[in-house]
Amino acid sequence: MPDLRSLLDEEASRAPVSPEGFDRTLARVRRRQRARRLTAAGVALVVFAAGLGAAVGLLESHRERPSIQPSPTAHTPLPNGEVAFKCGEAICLMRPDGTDRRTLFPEGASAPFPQWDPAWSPSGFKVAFRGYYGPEDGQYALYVADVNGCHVRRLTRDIAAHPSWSPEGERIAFDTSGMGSIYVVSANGTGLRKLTPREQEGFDDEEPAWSPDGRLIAFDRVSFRGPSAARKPQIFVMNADGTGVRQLTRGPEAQTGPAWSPDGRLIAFVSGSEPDTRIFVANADGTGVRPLTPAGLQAWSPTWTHDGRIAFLTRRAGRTDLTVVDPDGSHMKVVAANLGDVLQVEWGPSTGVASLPSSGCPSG
Amino acid sequence: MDRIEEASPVTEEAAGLDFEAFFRAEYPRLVRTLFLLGADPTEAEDMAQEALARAYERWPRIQTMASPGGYVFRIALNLNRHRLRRLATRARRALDRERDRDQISHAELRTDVSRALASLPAGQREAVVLVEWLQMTSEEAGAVLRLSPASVRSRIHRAREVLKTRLENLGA
Repeated sequence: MPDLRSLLDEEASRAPVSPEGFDRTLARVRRRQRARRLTAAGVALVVFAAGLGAAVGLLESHRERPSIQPSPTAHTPLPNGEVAFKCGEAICLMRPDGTDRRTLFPEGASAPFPQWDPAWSPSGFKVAFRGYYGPEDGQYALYVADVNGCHVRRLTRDIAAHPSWSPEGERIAFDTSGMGSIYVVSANGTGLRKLTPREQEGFDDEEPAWSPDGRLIAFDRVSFRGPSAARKPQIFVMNADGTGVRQLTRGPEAQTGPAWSPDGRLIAFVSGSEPDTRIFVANADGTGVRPLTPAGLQAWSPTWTHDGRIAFLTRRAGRTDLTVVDPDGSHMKVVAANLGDVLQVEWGPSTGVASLPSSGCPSG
Repeated sequence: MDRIEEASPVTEEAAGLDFEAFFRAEYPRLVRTLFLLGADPTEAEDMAQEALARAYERWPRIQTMASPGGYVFRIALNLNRHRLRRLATRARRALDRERDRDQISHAELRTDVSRALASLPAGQREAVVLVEWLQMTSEEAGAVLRLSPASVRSRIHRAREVLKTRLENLGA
Protein backbone atom coordinates (compact mmCIF):
# COMPACT_ATOMS: atom_id res chain seq x y z
CA MET A 1 0.00 0.00 0.00
CA PRO A 2 1.47 3.44 -0.89
CA ASP A 3 2.03 5.70 2.06
CA LEU A 4 -1.06 7.35 3.44
CA ARG A 5 -0.01 10.90 2.73
CA SER A 6 0.53 10.17 -0.95
CA LEU A 7 -2.92 8.62 -1.18
CA LEU A 8 -4.46 11.61 0.58
CA ASP A 9 -2.54 14.02 -1.65
CA GLU A 10 -3.83 12.28 -4.72
CA GLU A 11 -7.37 12.26 -3.40
CA ALA A 12 -7.23 15.92 -2.31
CA SER A 13 -5.97 16.99 -5.72
CA ARG A 14 -9.31 15.87 -7.15
CA ALA A 15 -11.01 18.79 -5.42
CA PRO A 16 -11.12 21.79 -7.74
CA VAL A 17 -10.20 25.11 -6.12
CA SER A 18 -11.94 28.00 -7.79
CA PRO A 19 -9.73 31.02 -8.56
CA GLU A 20 -12.78 33.19 -7.84
CA GLY A 21 -12.90 32.00 -4.23
CA PHE A 22 -11.62 35.28 -2.81
CA ASP A 23 -14.06 37.44 -4.75
CA ARG A 24 -16.93 35.12 -3.92
CA THR A 25 -16.06 35.27 -0.24
CA LEU A 26 -16.02 39.07 -0.23
CA ALA A 27 -19.28 39.08 -2.16
CA ARG A 28 -20.72 36.81 0.50
CA VAL A 29 -19.68 39.26 3.20
CA ARG A 30 -21.21 42.18 1.29
CA ARG A 31 -24.47 40.29 0.75
CA ARG A 32 -24.62 39.58 4.45
CA GLN A 33 -23.95 43.22 5.30
CA ARG A 34 -26.71 44.34 2.95
CA ALA A 35 -29.11 41.80 4.44
CA ARG A 36 -28.30 43.01 7.92
CA ARG A 37 -28.82 46.61 6.93
CA LEU A 38 -32.21 45.73 5.47
CA THR A 39 -33.10 43.86 8.60
CA ALA A 40 -31.97 46.74 10.75
CA ALA A 41 -34.05 49.12 8.68
CA GLY A 42 -37.17 47.28 9.77
CA VAL A 43 -38.22 46.51 13.24
CA ALA A 44 -35.05 45.56 15.08
CA LEU A 45 -36.49 44.29 18.28
CA VAL A 46 -39.00 41.52 18.87
CA VAL A 47 -40.76 41.05 22.14
CA PHE A 48 -42.01 37.53 22.38
CA ALA A 49 -44.40 38.07 25.19
CA ALA A 50 -47.16 38.67 22.68
CA GLY A 51 -50.38 39.81 24.24
CA LEU A 52 -48.83 40.75 27.53
CA GLY A 53 -47.87 44.23 26.33
CA ALA A 54 -46.46 46.88 28.53
CA ALA A 55 -47.88 45.28 31.63
CA VAL A 56 -45.23 42.59 31.33
CA GLY A 57 -42.49 45.14 31.77
CA LEU A 58 -44.06 46.58 34.84
CA LEU A 59 -44.64 43.20 36.36
CA GLU A 60 -41.40 41.56 35.23
CA SER A 61 -39.36 42.04 38.36
CA HIS A 62 -42.21 40.70 40.48
CA ARG A 63 -42.87 37.81 38.12
CA GLU A 64 -39.37 36.42 37.98
CA ARG A 65 -39.38 34.40 41.16
CA PRO A 66 -42.85 32.81 40.92
CA SER A 67 -42.27 31.77 37.30
CA ILE A 68 -40.46 28.67 38.55
CA GLN A 69 -42.94 26.39 40.15
CA PRO A 70 -41.87 24.68 43.35
CA SER A 71 -41.01 21.03 43.09
CA PRO A 72 -40.74 18.75 46.09
CA THR A 73 -38.02 16.76 44.40
CA ALA A 74 -35.63 19.19 42.85
CA HIS A 75 -36.37 22.77 43.87
CA THR A 76 -33.46 22.79 46.26
CA PRO A 77 -31.77 25.97 47.44
CA LEU A 78 -28.04 25.80 46.87
CA PRO A 79 -26.11 27.93 49.36
CA ASN A 80 -22.99 27.57 47.24
CA GLY A 81 -24.77 28.55 44.06
CA GLU A 82 -24.56 26.73 40.77
CA VAL A 83 -22.26 27.03 37.80
CA ALA A 84 -23.46 27.55 34.24
CA PHE A 85 -21.12 26.56 31.46
CA LYS A 86 -21.00 25.86 27.78
CA CYS A 87 -20.76 22.11 27.26
CA GLY A 88 -20.36 21.18 23.63
CA GLU A 89 -23.07 23.09 21.77
CA ALA A 90 -25.40 23.54 24.76
CA ILE A 91 -25.49 25.35 28.09
CA CYS A 92 -25.18 23.09 31.10
CA LEU A 93 -25.55 23.59 34.83
CA MET A 94 -23.81 21.86 37.69
CA ARG A 95 -22.91 22.25 41.32
CA PRO A 96 -19.52 23.88 41.84
CA ASP A 97 -17.93 20.52 42.64
CA GLY A 98 -18.95 19.19 39.23
CA THR A 99 -21.85 17.05 40.43
CA ASP A 100 -25.50 17.18 39.31
CA ARG A 101 -24.44 18.10 35.78
CA ARG A 102 -27.30 18.61 33.34
CA THR A 103 -28.30 20.67 30.31
CA LEU A 104 -30.27 23.87 30.80
CA PHE A 105 -32.87 22.61 28.35
CA PRO A 106 -34.11 19.04 28.58
CA GLU A 107 -33.71 16.70 25.62
CA GLY A 108 -36.18 17.58 22.90
CA ALA A 109 -37.08 20.97 24.36
CA SER A 110 -37.92 23.75 21.95
CA ALA A 111 -34.91 25.99 22.45
CA PRO A 112 -32.45 27.79 20.19
CA PHE A 113 -29.36 25.73 19.37
CA PRO A 114 -26.37 25.96 19.63
CA GLN A 115 -26.22 27.99 22.82
CA TRP A 116 -23.39 30.24 24.01
CA ASP A 117 -22.50 32.88 26.61
CA PRO A 118 -24.55 31.92 29.70
CA ALA A 119 -25.20 34.74 32.20
CA TRP A 120 -27.07 34.29 35.47
CA SER A 121 -29.67 36.81 36.53
CA PRO A 122 -28.82 38.28 39.96
CA SER A 123 -31.64 36.29 41.52
CA GLY A 124 -30.29 33.04 40.11
CA PHE A 125 -33.69 32.20 38.64
CA LYS A 126 -32.95 33.07 35.01
CA VAL A 127 -30.17 32.59 32.52
CA ALA A 128 -29.52 34.91 29.58
CA PHE A 129 -27.63 33.45 26.67
CA ARG A 130 -26.85 33.68 22.95
CA GLY A 131 -28.86 31.20 20.93
CA TYR A 132 -29.08 30.31 17.26
CA TYR A 133 -32.58 30.53 15.80
CA GLY A 134 -31.38 29.37 12.37
CA PRO A 135 -28.55 27.37 10.83
CA GLU A 136 -26.81 30.21 9.01
CA ASP A 137 -24.06 32.50 10.15
CA GLY A 138 -25.31 35.41 12.20
CA GLN A 139 -28.67 33.80 12.94
CA TYR A 140 -28.35 34.23 16.66
CA ALA A 141 -29.92 36.54 19.18
CA LEU A 142 -30.19 37.20 22.91
CA TYR A 143 -32.48 34.88 24.86
CA VAL A 144 -33.57 34.54 28.46
CA ALA A 145 -34.92 31.36 30.06
CA ASP A 146 -35.85 30.24 33.53
CA VAL A 147 -33.16 28.15 35.14
CA ASN A 148 -35.35 25.05 34.70
CA GLY A 149 -35.35 25.58 30.93
CA CYS A 150 -38.89 26.99 30.83
CA HIS A 151 -40.19 30.33 29.54
CA VAL A 152 -37.62 30.81 26.79
CA ARG A 153 -37.90 34.33 25.45
CA ARG A 154 -36.02 35.97 22.59
CA LEU A 155 -35.09 39.55 23.45
CA THR A 156 -33.43 40.85 20.30
CA ARG A 157 -34.03 40.35 16.66
CA ASP A 158 -30.44 40.98 15.63
CA ILE A 159 -27.08 39.56 16.52
CA ALA A 160 -26.38 39.72 20.26
CA ALA A 161 -23.76 38.04 22.43
CA HIS A 162 -22.07 38.11 25.84
CA PRO A 163 -24.99 39.24 28.02
CA SER A 164 -24.39 40.74 31.46
CA TRP A 165 -27.23 41.53 33.86
CA SER A 166 -27.55 44.77 35.76
CA PRO A 167 -27.41 44.12 39.51
CA GLU A 168 -31.13 44.81 39.96
CA GLY A 169 -31.91 42.24 37.25
CA GLU A 170 -33.98 44.59 35.11
CA ARG A 171 -31.54 45.27 32.26
CA ILE A 172 -29.03 43.29 30.23
CA ALA A 173 -25.94 44.66 28.50
CA PHE A 174 -24.66 42.76 25.47
CA ASP A 175 -22.40 43.17 22.46
CA THR A 176 -23.04 42.68 18.79
CA SER A 177 -20.38 40.00 18.43
CA GLY A 178 -17.73 41.62 16.33
CA MET A 179 -20.10 44.21 14.87
CA GLY A 180 -18.80 46.98 17.07
CA SER A 181 -21.17 48.15 19.74
CA ILE A 182 -22.45 47.48 23.22
CA TYR A 183 -26.18 47.76 23.83
CA VAL A 184 -28.53 47.60 26.79
CA VAL A 185 -32.03 46.14 26.72
CA SER A 186 -34.59 45.59 29.46
CA ALA A 187 -34.96 42.01 30.62
CA ASN A 188 -38.42 42.00 29.04
CA GLY A 189 -37.03 42.99 25.64
CA THR A 190 -38.02 46.67 25.61
CA GLY A 191 -35.95 49.84 25.65
CA LEU A 192 -33.04 48.78 23.46
CA ARG A 193 -30.29 51.39 23.62
CA LYS A 194 -26.82 51.63 22.10
CA LEU A 195 -24.05 52.59 24.50
CA THR A 196 -20.86 52.61 22.44
CA PRO A 197 -20.10 53.77 18.89
CA ARG A 198 -20.39 51.69 15.79
CA GLU A 199 -17.45 49.82 14.40
CA GLN A 200 -17.32 52.26 11.50
CA GLU A 201 -16.03 54.76 14.01
CA GLY A 202 -12.95 52.64 14.47
CA PHE A 203 -13.65 50.39 17.46
CA ASP A 204 -15.00 46.96 18.23
CA ASP A 205 -16.39 46.71 21.77
CA GLU A 206 -17.22 43.35 23.30
CA GLU A 207 -17.87 41.38 26.49
CA PRO A 208 -19.62 43.95 28.71
CA ALA A 209 -19.65 43.29 32.46
CA TRP A 210 -21.95 45.28 34.72
CA SER A 211 -20.39 46.42 38.02
CA PRO A 212 -22.06 45.18 41.23
CA ASP A 213 -23.21 48.70 42.15
CA GLY A 214 -24.77 49.17 38.72
CA ARG A 215 -22.89 52.39 37.97
CA LEU A 216 -20.26 51.09 35.55
CA ILE A 217 -19.85 48.66 32.68
CA ALA A 218 -16.44 47.19 31.90
CA PHE A 219 -15.76 45.84 28.42
CA ASP A 220 -12.93 45.11 26.03
CA ARG A 221 -12.19 47.30 23.02
CA VAL A 222 -9.97 46.83 19.99
CA SER A 223 -9.13 49.81 17.82
CA PHE A 224 -8.75 49.39 14.08
CA ARG A 225 -6.46 52.38 13.88
CA GLY A 226 -2.70 52.21 13.89
CA PRO A 227 -0.44 49.32 12.91
CA SER A 228 -1.97 45.86 13.10
CA ALA A 229 0.56 44.77 15.73
CA ALA A 230 -0.89 47.40 18.05
CA ARG A 231 -4.46 46.19 17.60
CA LYS A 232 -4.74 44.26 20.84
CA PRO A 233 -8.01 44.49 22.76
CA GLN A 234 -7.75 46.24 26.14
CA ILE A 235 -10.10 46.59 29.10
CA PHE A 236 -12.16 49.77 29.24
CA VAL A 237 -14.85 50.98 31.60
CA MET A 238 -17.74 53.42 31.11
CA ASN A 239 -20.67 54.73 33.04
CA ALA A 240 -23.78 52.58 32.68
CA ASP A 241 -25.31 55.24 30.39
CA GLY A 242 -22.39 54.95 27.96
CA THR A 243 -20.64 58.17 28.96
CA GLY A 244 -17.18 58.56 30.46
CA VAL A 245 -15.33 55.81 28.57
CA ARG A 246 -11.84 55.32 29.94
CA GLN A 247 -9.09 52.77 29.34
CA LEU A 248 -8.04 50.59 32.27
CA THR A 249 -5.32 48.33 30.87
CA ARG A 250 -2.46 48.97 28.46
CA GLY A 251 -0.82 45.57 28.31
CA PRO A 252 1.36 44.22 25.52
CA GLU A 253 -1.01 41.27 25.11
CA ALA A 254 -4.72 41.14 24.27
CA GLN A 255 -6.77 41.80 27.44
CA THR A 256 -10.36 40.56 27.26
CA GLY A 257 -13.32 39.21 29.20
CA PRO A 258 -13.53 41.51 32.25
CA ALA A 259 -15.34 40.22 35.36
CA TRP A 260 -16.06 42.34 38.46
CA SER A 261 -15.45 41.11 41.99
CA PRO A 262 -18.62 41.00 44.13
CA ASP A 263 -17.45 44.10 46.07
CA GLY A 264 -16.66 45.98 42.86
CA ARG A 265 -13.06 46.67 43.84
CA LEU A 266 -11.31 44.33 41.42
CA ILE A 267 -11.65 43.28 37.81
CA ALA A 268 -10.36 39.91 36.61
CA PHE A 269 -9.66 39.42 32.91
CA VAL A 270 -7.95 37.20 30.37
CA SER A 271 -4.53 38.22 29.08
CA GLY A 272 -2.92 36.74 25.98
CA SER A 273 -4.03 34.91 22.87
CA GLU A 274 -5.25 31.36 22.70
CA PRO A 275 -3.76 29.00 23.77
CA ASP A 276 -1.36 31.17 25.81
CA THR A 277 -3.96 32.84 27.99
CA ARG A 278 -3.63 33.71 31.67
CA ILE A 279 -5.94 35.24 34.26
CA PHE A 280 -4.98 38.69 35.53
CA VAL A 281 -6.62 40.96 38.06
CA ALA A 282 -6.53 44.76 38.41
CA ASN A 283 -7.98 47.29 40.78
CA ALA A 284 -11.18 48.85 39.45
CA ASP A 285 -9.25 52.03 38.58
CA GLY A 286 -6.80 50.05 36.42
CA THR A 287 -3.90 50.11 38.88
CA GLY A 288 -2.29 47.07 40.45
CA VAL A 289 -2.42 44.79 37.41
CA ARG A 290 -1.04 41.39 38.36
CA PRO A 291 -1.18 37.81 37.08
CA LEU A 292 -3.09 35.17 39.01
CA THR A 293 -2.14 32.15 36.96
CA PRO A 294 1.32 31.02 35.88
CA ALA A 295 2.64 31.18 32.34
CA GLY A 296 2.24 27.86 30.59
CA LEU A 297 -1.11 27.06 32.18
CA GLN A 298 -3.90 27.83 29.70
CA ALA A 299 -6.56 29.66 31.72
CA TRP A 300 -9.64 31.55 30.52
CA SER A 301 -13.27 32.55 31.26
CA PRO A 302 -12.84 34.20 34.68
CA THR A 303 -15.91 34.49 36.90
CA TRP A 304 -16.16 35.39 40.59
CA THR A 305 -17.59 33.16 43.27
CA HIS A 306 -19.95 34.93 45.64
CA ASP A 307 -17.40 34.59 48.43
CA GLY A 308 -14.85 36.63 46.47
CA ARG A 309 -12.61 34.06 44.79
CA ILE A 310 -11.95 33.86 41.08
CA ALA A 311 -13.04 30.77 39.18
CA PHE A 312 -11.91 30.01 35.65
CA LEU A 313 -11.28 27.17 33.24
CA THR A 314 -7.84 25.65 32.86
CA ARG A 315 -6.45 23.11 30.44
CA ARG A 316 -3.72 20.72 31.51
CA ALA A 317 -2.65 17.76 29.42
CA GLY A 318 -5.82 18.02 27.36
CA ARG A 319 -8.11 18.06 30.41
CA THR A 320 -10.35 21.03 31.12
CA ASP A 321 -10.88 21.78 34.82
CA LEU A 322 -12.76 24.38 36.85
CA THR A 323 -10.15 26.05 39.02
CA VAL A 324 -10.45 28.71 41.75
CA VAL A 325 -7.88 31.06 43.24
CA ASP A 326 -7.88 33.82 45.82
CA PRO A 327 -7.52 37.39 44.49
CA ASP A 328 -3.94 37.49 45.80
CA GLY A 329 -3.04 34.45 43.70
CA SER A 330 -2.93 32.03 46.63
CA HIS A 331 -4.85 28.81 47.25
CA MET A 332 -5.28 27.83 43.62
CA LYS A 333 -7.08 24.53 43.35
CA VAL A 334 -9.19 22.51 40.95
CA VAL A 335 -12.76 22.21 42.21
CA ALA A 336 -14.23 20.24 39.31
CA ALA A 337 -11.90 18.14 37.18
CA ASN A 338 -12.01 16.83 33.64
CA LEU A 339 -15.13 18.65 32.51
CA GLY A 340 -14.77 17.62 28.88
CA ASP A 341 -15.64 19.99 26.04
CA VAL A 342 -16.26 23.14 28.10
CA LEU A 343 -15.51 26.60 26.71
CA GLN A 344 -17.19 29.11 29.03
CA VAL A 345 -18.20 29.15 32.67
CA GLU A 346 -20.17 31.48 34.93
CA TRP A 347 -20.61 31.08 38.66
CA GLY A 348 -24.19 31.68 39.77
CA PRO A 349 -25.43 33.63 42.77
CA SER A 350 -25.85 31.88 46.08
CA THR A 351 -29.63 32.11 45.82
CA GLY A 352 -29.73 29.83 42.80
CA VAL A 353 -31.92 26.77 42.63
CA ALA A 354 -31.52 23.36 41.12
CA SER A 355 -33.49 22.90 37.94
CA LEU A 356 -36.94 21.48 37.96
CA PRO A 357 -37.73 18.05 36.59
CA SER A 358 -37.99 17.94 32.83
CA SER A 359 -41.55 16.70 32.93
CA GLY A 360 -42.83 19.90 31.38
CA CYS A 361 -43.03 23.62 31.89
CA PRO A 362 -45.86 25.43 33.59
CA SER A 363 -47.98 27.45 31.21
CA GLY A 364 -47.86 31.22 31.14
CA MET B 1 -38.42 51.53 19.55
CA ASP B 2 -34.72 51.71 19.13
CA ARG B 3 -32.99 49.50 16.67
CA ILE B 4 -29.59 48.02 16.12
CA GLU B 5 -27.75 49.94 13.47
CA GLU B 6 -25.57 47.89 11.23
CA ALA B 7 -21.98 48.71 10.63
CA SER B 8 -19.52 47.56 8.07
CA PRO B 9 -17.91 44.74 10.07
CA VAL B 10 -14.43 45.52 8.89
CA THR B 11 -13.25 48.70 7.26
CA GLU B 12 -11.20 48.27 4.12
CA GLU B 13 -8.27 49.86 5.90
CA ALA B 14 -8.56 47.46 8.81
CA ALA B 15 -8.90 44.39 6.63
CA GLY B 16 -6.12 45.47 4.34
CA LEU B 17 -4.06 43.08 2.33
CA ASP B 18 -3.22 40.91 5.31
CA PHE B 19 -6.50 39.12 4.96
CA GLU B 20 -6.04 38.51 1.25
CA ALA B 21 -2.63 36.94 1.88
CA PHE B 22 -4.17 34.84 4.62
CA PHE B 23 -6.99 33.83 2.30
CA ARG B 24 -4.66 32.82 -0.52
CA ALA B 25 -2.66 30.65 1.86
CA GLU B 26 -5.55 28.93 3.59
CA TYR B 27 -8.31 28.61 1.00
CA PRO B 28 -6.95 25.70 -1.08
CA ARG B 29 -6.05 23.77 2.08
CA LEU B 30 -9.48 24.38 3.53
CA VAL B 31 -11.31 23.29 0.38
CA ARG B 32 -9.27 20.11 0.08
CA THR B 33 -9.56 19.32 3.77
CA LEU B 34 -13.33 19.57 3.57
CA PHE B 35 -13.32 17.44 0.42
CA LEU B 36 -11.33 14.76 2.24
CA LEU B 37 -13.85 14.98 5.05
CA GLY B 38 -16.60 13.92 2.67
CA ALA B 39 -18.00 17.14 1.24
CA ASP B 40 -18.56 17.30 -2.49
CA PRO B 41 -16.48 19.91 -4.34
CA THR B 42 -19.26 22.51 -4.33
CA GLU B 43 -19.98 22.02 -0.64
CA ALA B 44 -16.28 22.12 0.18
CA GLU B 45 -15.82 25.49 -1.54
CA ASP B 46 -19.03 26.82 -0.01
CA MET B 47 -17.95 25.91 3.52
CA ALA B 48 -14.41 27.19 3.00
CA GLN B 49 -15.78 30.52 1.76
CA GLU B 50 -18.19 30.68 4.68
CA ALA B 51 -15.41 30.01 7.20
CA LEU B 52 -13.21 32.67 5.66
CA ALA B 53 -16.10 35.15 5.37
CA ARG B 54 -16.65 34.79 9.11
CA ALA B 55 -12.96 35.31 9.68
CA TYR B 56 -13.02 38.42 7.48
CA GLU B 57 -15.84 39.92 9.52
CA ARG B 58 -13.77 39.60 12.68
CA TRP B 59 -10.36 40.01 11.11
CA PRO B 60 -9.03 42.76 13.41
CA ARG B 61 -9.41 40.39 16.34
CA ILE B 62 -8.53 37.18 14.56
CA GLN B 63 -5.28 38.52 13.16
CA THR B 64 -4.10 39.08 16.73
CA MET B 65 -4.61 35.39 17.59
CA ALA B 66 -1.69 33.05 17.96
CA SER B 67 -3.09 30.86 15.18
CA PRO B 68 -5.62 32.53 12.85
CA GLY B 69 -5.36 29.46 10.63
CA GLY B 70 -6.35 27.18 13.49
CA TYR B 71 -9.34 29.42 14.19
CA VAL B 72 -10.54 29.19 10.59
CA PHE B 73 -10.06 25.44 10.49
CA ARG B 74 -12.16 25.16 13.66
CA ILE B 75 -14.96 27.13 11.99
CA ALA B 76 -14.71 24.99 8.87
CA LEU B 77 -14.80 21.73 10.82
CA ASN B 78 -17.80 22.97 12.78
CA LEU B 79 -19.57 23.82 9.52
CA ASN B 80 -18.78 20.34 8.27
CA ARG B 81 -20.14 18.79 11.46
CA HIS B 82 -23.35 20.75 10.99
CA ARG B 83 -23.51 19.50 7.42
CA LEU B 84 -23.14 15.91 8.61
CA ARG B 85 -25.76 16.45 11.27
CA ARG B 86 -28.18 17.85 8.71
CA LEU B 87 -27.55 14.91 6.41
CA ALA B 88 -28.04 12.45 9.26
CA THR B 89 -31.30 14.11 10.24
CA ARG B 90 -32.52 14.07 6.67
CA ALA B 91 -31.58 10.44 6.24
CA ARG B 92 -33.29 9.47 9.46
CA ARG B 93 -36.49 11.26 8.64
CA ALA B 94 -36.35 10.46 4.93
CA LEU B 95 -37.65 13.91 4.21
CA ASP B 96 -35.51 14.59 1.19
CA ARG B 97 -35.30 11.59 -1.05
CA GLU B 98 -33.88 13.59 -3.93
CA ARG B 99 -31.01 14.72 -1.74
CA ASP B 100 -30.38 11.16 -0.64
CA ARG B 101 -30.18 10.09 -4.26
CA ASP B 102 -27.72 12.91 -4.94
CA GLN B 103 -25.60 11.72 -2.06
CA ILE B 104 -25.66 8.18 -3.37
CA SER B 105 -24.66 9.23 -6.88
CA HIS B 106 -21.96 11.42 -5.41
CA ALA B 107 -20.71 8.46 -3.36
CA GLU B 108 -20.48 6.39 -6.52
CA LEU B 109 -17.97 8.88 -7.89
CA ARG B 110 -15.72 8.49 -4.89
CA THR B 111 -12.41 6.66 -5.03
CA ASP B 112 -11.31 3.77 -2.88
CA VAL B 113 -9.34 6.16 -0.70
CA SER B 114 -12.37 8.32 -0.25
CA ARG B 115 -14.54 5.33 0.65
CA ALA B 116 -11.94 4.12 3.14
CA LEU B 117 -11.88 7.58 4.74
CA ALA B 118 -15.67 7.67 4.81
CA SER B 119 -15.70 4.42 6.75
CA LEU B 120 -13.91 6.09 9.65
CA PRO B 121 -15.80 7.73 12.52
CA ALA B 122 -15.94 11.48 11.93
CA GLY B 123 -13.49 12.25 14.74
CA GLN B 124 -10.86 9.84 13.40
CA ARG B 125 -11.33 11.17 9.88
CA GLU B 126 -10.71 14.73 11.05
CA ALA B 127 -7.59 13.67 12.94
CA VAL B 128 -6.21 11.76 9.95
CA VAL B 129 -6.74 14.63 7.53
CA LEU B 130 -5.21 17.22 9.85
CA VAL B 131 -2.19 15.15 10.83
CA GLU B 132 -1.52 12.87 7.87
CA TRP B 133 -2.42 15.23 5.06
CA LEU B 134 -2.00 18.74 6.47
CA GLN B 135 1.02 17.53 8.45
CA MET B 136 -0.10 19.25 11.64
CA THR B 137 1.53 18.08 14.83
CA SER B 138 -0.75 16.32 17.28
CA GLU B 139 -0.53 19.48 19.40
CA GLU B 140 -1.68 21.69 16.51
CA ALA B 141 -4.44 19.28 15.54
CA GLY B 142 -5.48 19.04 19.18
CA ALA B 143 -5.86 22.82 19.32
CA VAL B 144 -8.13 22.75 16.27
CA LEU B 145 -10.15 19.75 17.43
CA ARG B 146 -10.09 20.78 21.11
CA LEU B 147 -8.55 17.45 22.05
CA SER B 148 -5.41 16.54 23.92
CA PRO B 149 -2.42 15.60 21.75
CA ALA B 150 -2.65 12.11 23.24
CA SER B 151 -6.26 11.80 22.10
CA VAL B 152 -5.26 12.92 18.61
CA ARG B 153 -2.48 10.33 18.52
CA SER B 154 -4.88 7.67 19.74
CA ARG B 155 -7.37 8.50 16.99
CA ILE B 156 -4.63 8.48 14.38
CA HIS B 157 -3.42 5.09 15.56
CA ARG B 158 -6.89 3.56 15.36
CA ALA B 159 -7.60 5.20 12.02
CA ARG B 160 -4.38 3.94 10.48
CA GLU B 161 -5.26 0.38 11.42
CA VAL B 162 -8.68 0.66 9.81
CA LEU B 163 -7.37 2.39 6.70
CA LYS B 164 -4.61 -0.13 6.24
CA THR B 165 -7.06 -3.01 6.32
CA ARG B 166 -9.59 -1.35 4.09
CA LEU B 167 -7.15 -0.11 1.50
CA GLU B 168 -5.44 -3.48 1.29
CA ASN B 169 -8.80 -5.15 0.82
CA LEU B 170 -9.68 -2.63 -1.84
CA GLY B 171 -6.33 -3.19 -3.53
CA ALA B 172 -5.29 0.43 -3.35
